[in-house]
Amino acid sequence: MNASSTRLASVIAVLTLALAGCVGGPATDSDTVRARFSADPQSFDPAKLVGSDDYYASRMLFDTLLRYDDDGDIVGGLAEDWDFDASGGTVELADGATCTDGTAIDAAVVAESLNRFASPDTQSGSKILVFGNGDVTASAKDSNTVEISLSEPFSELDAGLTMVASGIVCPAGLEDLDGLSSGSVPDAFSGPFTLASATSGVEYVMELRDDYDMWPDFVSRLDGRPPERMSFSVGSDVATNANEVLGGSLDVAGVSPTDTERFPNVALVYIGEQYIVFNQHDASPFQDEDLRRAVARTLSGEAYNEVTYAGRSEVEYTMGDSGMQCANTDEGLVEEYDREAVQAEGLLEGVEMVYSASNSFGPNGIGAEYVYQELSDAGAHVDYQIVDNSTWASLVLGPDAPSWDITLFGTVNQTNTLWTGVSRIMGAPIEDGGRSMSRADNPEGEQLADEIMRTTDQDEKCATYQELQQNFLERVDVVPLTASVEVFALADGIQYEPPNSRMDYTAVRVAD
Amino acid sequence: MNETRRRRRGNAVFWAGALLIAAFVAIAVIGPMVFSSSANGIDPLNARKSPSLSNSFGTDGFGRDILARVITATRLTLLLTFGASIISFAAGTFIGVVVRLLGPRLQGAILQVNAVAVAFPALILALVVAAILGPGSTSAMVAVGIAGIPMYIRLTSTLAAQVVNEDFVRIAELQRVPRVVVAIRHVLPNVAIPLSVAAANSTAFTLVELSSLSFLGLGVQAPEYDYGRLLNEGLAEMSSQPWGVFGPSIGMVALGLGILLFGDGLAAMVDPKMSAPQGAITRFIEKVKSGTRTSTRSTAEPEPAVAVENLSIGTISEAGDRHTLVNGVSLHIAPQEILGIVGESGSGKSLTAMSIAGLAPNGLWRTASGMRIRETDMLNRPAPSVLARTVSLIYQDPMSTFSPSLRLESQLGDVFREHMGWDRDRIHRELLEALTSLSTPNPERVLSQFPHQLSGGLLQRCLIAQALLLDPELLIADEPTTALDVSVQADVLRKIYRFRAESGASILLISHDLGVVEELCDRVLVMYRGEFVEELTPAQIRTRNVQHPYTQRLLDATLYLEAAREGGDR
Amino acid sequence: MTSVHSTVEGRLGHGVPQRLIPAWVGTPWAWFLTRKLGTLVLSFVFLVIVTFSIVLLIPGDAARAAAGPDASLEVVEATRQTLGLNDPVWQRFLTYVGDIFSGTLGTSFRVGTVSEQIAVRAPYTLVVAGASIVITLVLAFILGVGVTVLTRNGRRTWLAQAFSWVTAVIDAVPVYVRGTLLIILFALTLGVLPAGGAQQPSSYVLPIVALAIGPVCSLSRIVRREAESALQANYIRTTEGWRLSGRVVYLKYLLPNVVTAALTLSGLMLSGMIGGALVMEQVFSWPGLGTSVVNAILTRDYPVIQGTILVLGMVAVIINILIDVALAAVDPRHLQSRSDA
Repeated sequence: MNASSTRLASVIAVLTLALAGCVGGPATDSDTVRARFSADPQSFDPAKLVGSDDYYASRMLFDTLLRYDDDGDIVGGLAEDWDFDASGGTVELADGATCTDGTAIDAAVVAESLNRFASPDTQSGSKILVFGNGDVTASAKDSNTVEISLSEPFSELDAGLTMVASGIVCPAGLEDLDGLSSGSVPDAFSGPFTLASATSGVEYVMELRDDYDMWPDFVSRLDGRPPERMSFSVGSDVATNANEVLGGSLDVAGVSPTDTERFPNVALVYIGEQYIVFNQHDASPFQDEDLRRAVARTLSGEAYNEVTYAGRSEVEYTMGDSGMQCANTDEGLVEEYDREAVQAEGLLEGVEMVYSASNSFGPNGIGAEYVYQELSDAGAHVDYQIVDNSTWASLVLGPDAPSWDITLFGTVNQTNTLWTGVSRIMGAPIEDGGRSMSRADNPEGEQLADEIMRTTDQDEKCATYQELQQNFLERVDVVPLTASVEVFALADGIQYEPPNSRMDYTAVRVAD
Repeated sequence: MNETRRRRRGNAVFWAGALLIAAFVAIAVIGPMVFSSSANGIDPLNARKSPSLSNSFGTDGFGRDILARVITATRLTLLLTFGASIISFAAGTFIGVVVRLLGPRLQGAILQVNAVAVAFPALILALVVAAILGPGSTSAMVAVGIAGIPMYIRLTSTLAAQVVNEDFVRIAELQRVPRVVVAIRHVLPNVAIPLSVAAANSTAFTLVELSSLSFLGLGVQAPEYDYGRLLNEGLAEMSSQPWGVFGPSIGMVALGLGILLFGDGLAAMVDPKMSAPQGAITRFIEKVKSGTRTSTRSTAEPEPAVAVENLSIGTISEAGDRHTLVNGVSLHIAPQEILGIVGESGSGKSLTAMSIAGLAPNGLWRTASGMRIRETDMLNRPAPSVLARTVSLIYQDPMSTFSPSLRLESQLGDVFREHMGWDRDRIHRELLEALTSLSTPNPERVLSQFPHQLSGGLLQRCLIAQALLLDPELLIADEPTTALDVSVQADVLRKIYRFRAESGASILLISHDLGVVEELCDRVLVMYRGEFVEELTPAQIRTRNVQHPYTQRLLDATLYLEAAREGGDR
Repeated sequence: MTSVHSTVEGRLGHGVPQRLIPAWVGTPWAWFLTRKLGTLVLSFVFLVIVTFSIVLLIPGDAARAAAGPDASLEVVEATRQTLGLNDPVWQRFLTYVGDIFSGTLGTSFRVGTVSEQIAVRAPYTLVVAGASIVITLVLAFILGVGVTVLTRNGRRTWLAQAFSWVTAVIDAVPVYVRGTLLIILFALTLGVLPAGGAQQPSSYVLPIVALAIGPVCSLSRIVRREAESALQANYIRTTEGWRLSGRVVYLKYLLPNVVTAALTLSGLMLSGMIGGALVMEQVFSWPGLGTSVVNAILTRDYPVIQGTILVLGMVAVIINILIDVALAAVDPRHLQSRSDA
């Protein structure tokens, strides 16, 4: 065509060939599974985990006392048996669990790890979800039995102890907390993998322990064998991830839910749930239940699912998915979607509101845009504050109550319980040290929530939970939308069935 | 040369760019009115559909028509791009001009700080500003706008520095005109044109930068959308909705191209040197040999060293019309004779001389019935090495005669290296010797220096020394003293005289200065409108014994200048 | 300067003093380098102040970001205290300056010191940006001067036209679209190169090409424009008078002068490449400083934001100073007074 462009093209081609030629194609090492973190894990100390990548990493390195199986039931992990009531209980440890350095994981080790996690000095953000608000004491009753006592009633201890943040840190790690945090204490780990190398931003390598034998039943039933090594590079661009899985340089990576047609082999992972929360502070328009109801009627879980996840997520009817214990699945409890009626009746016409949202839901924050679009179509005067996740969190979770009226909330539900969501609208508000951001005046609901915290019988608890869900759904304190999901594309020969649809890289298997 | 031609080309490019931009402005104005309902009305259950008759680019995640959205996005894209450019331009120009009016200390400090800001990558600056202001279209515009300011400060202050030193600004300052008034009245208008060229080019950059910010998630946020955000949305779903990427890409490239063309065209119109000369010139035919080659040389006279017969030179238009610049001139120069050609600029004297040297500018036609220097037939395309030793030249502006980035010895030596096969030692030795023979102080140093370190007189002397070594048949000196101080003019003329004495070559001296010619030449030809109107002896000039009224006028002008110069000295 | 020094200066003109004889004191090179050192120091001070101010201005609560969304307000406050965010501003500034001079650049709110993080990531950015800069300079000069010479005096009009259009079109495509197209072509369609990541040497190819191709186009346009105008220069006419061959004229006389003119204009473009690298890194999931600073901004990791931007800024300043030095070596006129143009 023309000399300049052909010359350019040939130079590029020569360069390409030269560089490609000296290394050959992408390395295919069947012992290593190449995956991707979306950001650097911020800490390898499970007590300090904040982002989802911290969670994924710690899940591989530290075992928890309890865990969910593939049916969503709580089963033993390091524990064999347990007996809890609202003020704590005892845990019987399974035999044979060891740390990387061979130290037996006995009751003393477990108690020390739990005490450290729960200590106020540790400043763990997750403690409140594992043990509730009160003080915690763990002690070794004998070499195999740990006793946990809580100063405030908390009936979700079993679910709490499935949480990665409560993962058992071996003594070597507790002796060197800085090293634990940066991942440089090789003997700190209690899980199936050890951290072989950590290069910030570049690569994290986890190696399978030869001596690990604590696979839960449902995991050991999986086909294929666990990879000898998992290597995580770092990158947040889902389009690049997709290209790399197709191009053969990655084996497991998160892709856009809208981009799954190219992949025959995908895994769907539940992260948490997404719902609308109203701030019912004194100056908020949403003290008015009718307005909350009008908003609920103009939002559709189906549409939100379509827009945000191309229909691949699950529409929810409470602050949890249908597989969650005690979760409501009765569609009748949520308001029916009828935007035309809301518009026709002018229910939201001219209502002024501050809508604060993070741009992290769906491609380019499209989820937040959906809510905005519906609200403004209904005639509301929306002050739309779309910000990044950090700004959003400090705004909505900060002590300054009147800074927002309505928000799109997305949880990372680490305990996989309704409580994670419920505690956002019940109990003490954030400014008083609790988790509640709705500041609702709902004595009936509070009563029910309190009851739940004191109930340990599962059926009884679920019955109370159903009453509670009916309560806050009728009051429209929240508008459930969908589960937060992530779609992972898998290369040929990689099998991955996330247990209970929760992220857990230890369940990745290589087909032989 | 061909300036109008280039301007015309510049015009074409300019208008192509302007037309493209105008088209985008029209789309920006009309598009949202027509398409906003299909671009913004959501229909989530009809999301991500492939292109069809009703949605020719398909639909996006909300079931909105992608084509309609691309068209609607044009408005915000244009507003942000031009908005950011205006912020950079206005603030940068303002600060740049103001800085020039400050005291030197403050000015230096500000410019130093600005130099750091300029070096700082604009995108990172924009990223930081966007993070501070929070994501959104306004903050993206402000961020990119702010990031562009340092560049304009630097450009403006540099341009203004040139203007501030010009006479009219100096005069205004002497008249105690307030600095602000000076800035607005005098400085701004004079930097406006180069600034607008730069502005056009940087606007194209702004467009890309804004979209990069959107790509990083810090730019335009929903529900607003520009090309960048559409592109970013599209990239995530490229496999299923390729038009989500193609659509905004096409818009962006076309708009960027329009702005670039506009800038290029503007630059070409303002400064023809900046535009690349295009095809037209090929149609100019250089006809070296043409016409009858009958010799008109009289055999009675002693054999002249240089003989030119019937030389005509001219231009040819695109339509083929010829325009004659030099009309059938003939001249002879005897060995060791110094022939002067005088005339006003544009009379054709330099063209004539350069044509004799075989160096006429491109794009001209030449015809001659004979052109000979000693044994060399100049019409017969002599070999370069023959030409190099046959004709030497001295030019008007010694400063620009030499490449600024090479030492004198290296430049002066090339001709010997290439055509005479001398090695480095010999070149050095011979040049030293020649310079010494022209009584140059410290010749060693002269040779090892760069042109900007030497005076004009010394540079001319270097060329004369080189000519001494080349020992040519003809030395052409084209206004050799015009650009020099009066004090060194005489010296250079003396050196030329000395050259004649030592070499035995003929010399052709071109000048508009009758004083110079009278002093140096054996014979003088007066050129007027491409023809020789009169031949004079130095004595005739001295005694003002001339026939042609044009010569008369030339003489009057010289006298007037001399009187003025003498009057001024006293 | 005096004539004594001028001779020395002449000898030193090749770029580097051969021997550091005492006579270098007061030479133009010494003055020049002193001035450049001054610029370096000034830039450093300026950047330290600016980077410190940035984190004061960024909205969002770093303590909340570090503690996580589930943390109670109490934990957030304790985190704030631990991170030193409750200290008065002057004390935080002193800490920052102290951290810079201790070489750690501060401790990340997450893991490790900032200098450790930068040490790991900088090579990735610098290799890609450096290779792109070299490729850009070499290719742009070959293309720009080549096209100018080939199309001189109106020959090969089609080439001139094609060059203008092709470079303008490529130039108008944003770097992330170019990157994506390269991925589609070389990684997905041809399958010869990896689509992203930095695990293999071949991973470097696409990022470098994606980053360089734009500046190659814009710089070669500048080079061509400069070459066109240099061809009109009197010194080229002089070489014609000497009847020198085209090779000598183009290589010895034209090229150095085009290089100086184009280098003067290319400083911005090359430091802009550091900015382009930022976007490129996102497209290729490249573990460089760009992804690091974007993540740090999103997670409000102040020390990393400060340190990384300081380092990137200094790299840009150093690139510009190196260009000035290169200019002075090629054309000694730049030694004496480099105006701010």
